[in-house]
Amino acid sequence: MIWREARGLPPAPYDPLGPKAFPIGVSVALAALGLAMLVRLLIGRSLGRAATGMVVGLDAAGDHARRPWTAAGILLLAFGYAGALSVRSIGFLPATAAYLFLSGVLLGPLAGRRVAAVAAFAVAAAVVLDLLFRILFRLDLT
Amino acid sequence: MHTLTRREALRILAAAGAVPLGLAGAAAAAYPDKPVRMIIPIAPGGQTDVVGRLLQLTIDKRKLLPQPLVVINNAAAGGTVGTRLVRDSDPDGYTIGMFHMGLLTAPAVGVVDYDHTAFELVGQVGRTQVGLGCLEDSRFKSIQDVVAEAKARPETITVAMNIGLLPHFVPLMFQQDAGVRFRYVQSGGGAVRLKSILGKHTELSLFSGPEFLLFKSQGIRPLVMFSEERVPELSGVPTAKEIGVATVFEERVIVFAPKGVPRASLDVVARALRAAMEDPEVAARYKGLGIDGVFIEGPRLKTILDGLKGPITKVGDVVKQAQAEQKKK
Amino acid sequence: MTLADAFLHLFTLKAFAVMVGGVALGVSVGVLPGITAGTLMALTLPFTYQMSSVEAVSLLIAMFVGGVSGGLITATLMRIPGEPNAIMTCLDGYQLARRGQPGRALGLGNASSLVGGSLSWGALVLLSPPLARLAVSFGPFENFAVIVMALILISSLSEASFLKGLSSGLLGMLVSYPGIDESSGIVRLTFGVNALEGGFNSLPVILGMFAVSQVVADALNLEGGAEPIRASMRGMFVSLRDYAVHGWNMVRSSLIGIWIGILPGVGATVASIVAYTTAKNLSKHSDEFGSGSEEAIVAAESANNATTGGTLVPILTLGIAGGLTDSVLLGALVIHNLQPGPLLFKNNPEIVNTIFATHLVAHLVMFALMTFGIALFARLMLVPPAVILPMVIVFSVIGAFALNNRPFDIWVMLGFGLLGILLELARVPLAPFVVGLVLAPAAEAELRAGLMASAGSYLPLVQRPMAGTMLAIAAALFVWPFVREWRRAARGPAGRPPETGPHTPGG
Repeated sequence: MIWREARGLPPAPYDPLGPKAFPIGVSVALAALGLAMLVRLLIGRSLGRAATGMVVGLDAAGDHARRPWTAAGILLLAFGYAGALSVRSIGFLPATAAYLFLSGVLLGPLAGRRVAAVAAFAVAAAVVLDLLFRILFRLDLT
Repeated sequence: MHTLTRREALRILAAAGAVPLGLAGAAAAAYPDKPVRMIIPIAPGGQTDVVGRLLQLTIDKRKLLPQPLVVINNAAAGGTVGTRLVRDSDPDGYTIGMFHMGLLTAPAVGVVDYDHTAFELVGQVGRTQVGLGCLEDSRFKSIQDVVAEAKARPETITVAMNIGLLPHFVPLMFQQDAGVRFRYVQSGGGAVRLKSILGKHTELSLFSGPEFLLFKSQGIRPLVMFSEERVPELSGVPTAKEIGVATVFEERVIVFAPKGVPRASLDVVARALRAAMEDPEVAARYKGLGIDGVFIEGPRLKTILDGLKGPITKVGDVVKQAQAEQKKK
Repeated sequence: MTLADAFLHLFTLKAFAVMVGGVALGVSVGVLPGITAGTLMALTLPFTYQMSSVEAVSLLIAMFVGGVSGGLITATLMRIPGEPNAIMTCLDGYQLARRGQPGRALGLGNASSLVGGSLSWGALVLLSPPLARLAVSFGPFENFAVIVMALILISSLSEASFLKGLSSGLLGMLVSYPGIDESSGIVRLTFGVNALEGGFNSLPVILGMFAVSQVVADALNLEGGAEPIRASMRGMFVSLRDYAVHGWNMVRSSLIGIWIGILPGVGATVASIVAYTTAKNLSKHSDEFGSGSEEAIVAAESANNATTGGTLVPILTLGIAGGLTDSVLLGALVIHNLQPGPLLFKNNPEIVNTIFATHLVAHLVMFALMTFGIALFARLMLVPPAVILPMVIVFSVIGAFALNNRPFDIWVMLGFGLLGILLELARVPLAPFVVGLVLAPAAEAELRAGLMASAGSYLPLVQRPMAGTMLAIAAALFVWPFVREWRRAARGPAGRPPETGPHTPGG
């Protein structure tokens, strides 16, 4: 699989001396590499895998059921959390509690008692964190 | 019942009169009713940051403000992210900023498109003198040597600077006024430029008075100071004026707020800052750091800064011109 | 106060409590992804103003040491780096743990941290002045050469697909460009977005690419993940024999760490990557790297702790701050009226000696705490993922924000989390990306500063002895993989020596 969309990056639109050089050089090199890889693929040679996969579990080797929706959900929730935080009216406390609750529910079996436990934890954790960081003077919502 | 003396009557009248005034004042004095945050767009530990925290500590300790003053650092992008943050925040007086002359020099180089006029100025809380220095055993024995050499061989003397800030600007101003040309090398903050000079990678750099005192033991010698008069602690060092070059410039620490903050609120902060600076401990620390601790209030500061804008812009144009020249190459 | 006095003082009740507290906090923060030692120190800085200078310094150093070391735990047990410098440990530490030897992984890592820290302490205490002089003599061209050398060294990391590794590195470099260009003060590549003027800070990016992506991956494998790292702490004790086997690796990696610590602006993350790569290149078992190699863990952890000593050298002798942790330490000194430099050594030896003493003792305390604390942390693994994973995200969000107080960083983190996932799916290695991201700005700034000084001439690169030598080494390193490949190919397609007759067993 090739992810060479980055090739499209323009060698930036600005003016004077040095600032141009490196970014242009790097994007050109990147483009060249992308091309090289494309060619290689076309010739039928494999591109090789990274010897070191740093994030375990993302590749196919699954001998158990995978839950792509859950994974996507977690990611989306995370984005939602960030979004909530940047909306001023939603404070750190409620946003965090909501996020923890929703994620917890998403990640686990939906048993009634469990849901309650998750809710309790979510609120408690959010409160503790909020206090902790507010004391250290962080207005957690700029 | 004793009759009121004239004096007492007057006093009562005054008090009575003060009540409605007090009430009006009370509405304004409701500020601040929650913590005020002061953004210092400098990495924690920088000189300006130290001044800011010193003042903040004193203000909080002696309750010079009814609410805490909170310092927040944001050193991103040479401080421009921080200043922009202050500029764009609500003019309710709960967000203020503290920075140095970079506020005026940055726009001149084109890094940002606003300068001090985009803010309400609360006041100046510190000022230091700056000058050019070199290595103790450098080939230059005096500033005249530098000028002579620079005139004979333009663009051969390297100056370590920090682009867009005073160490860049002031040598440029000197360059213009003295009719010479240096070669500028980007280095960074005071300590980095010190290292550059010590390692003989560059020959000159701009340092503040306090820095000269500090770095003396490491072998840095001041050649000239850009002050009105000789700096007392560096009495052997001539001023630029003395050698016939009219460059005078000082580094200032400025406190500012977004446009639109009511004057009354600004005054509250100004009063607190001034009181903090008059605290004997603070005054002693200032002196120890070599900083001139005279508070200059907003309006007067604005006049001063407006006056400086012209020369700064001129220098900024020189920089832009150099960039244009480079582009052609 | 002499050094001996400083040591003794540390063992007085209050000082000891402060230090242990600092280390404990540091380690806890190191364990937590998102919040780094630097952030913790910056948050604590205001409190230190009330303390005496000796206490303040002691506390901050203790936190620093604890923080740098703590990342190892989450890296090993959860494959999430608690600190960016634990990225490499994630690779092998986790695998080793998966293979049923978490104790060994943690024990080795811990021991390596101790050794790395101690060696760097030695360098700090004994060699500060000469090291400082050496650092001073390194001008922009030398710095550039060193960085290039490191870059080339690291690019050999993913030899399985050189193209992909290189691309990854270049991509990382590209990401580092938006923002204010250090050498010219000009804003570039922001595409008109104001928030980008600050550029992409490396912390949210790394956090996103490693922590967020791992969380998502864990969510993906929720069922499978049920075989938790059984906290068998067996094998945690590192025997003398282990020291013998890994000793040279430890020393070498520590030296790398010390040196990189001294260099301005490079940092522990790069140090661990360089040490890892070097170890891999020099190892007889290089294929084990990435699937639980002990050498890998040793290399990475020794190096990142060794940077603590190295980084203190320029701070104390020159007052140069290389990063957030450095500027916090500097700030603490300055607010207490202490200016770094030779004067500090002369006028305030008690501060210098306290720093020295704390640095070493903190490492010892850290070692002890981690050893005993590991059992505690392992318990943490029993907490259901439904709780841990979101908490990791929450901490990462807080950490990303806390850096510069801008919500933008949170989005950056999440965005790069997504990118990390995509890259991983495409089997593109992430380590070169990080290296490109971190080193590119420094390399560029140094080269351009050098050119400014030489009026555009590239000659000093080869003329100056140190610079020239390092570039030569870099060139050699660059060519080496190709040479090796070529030689391998020349030996015949199946790797057999050509024309020497059948060697295969069974004739």
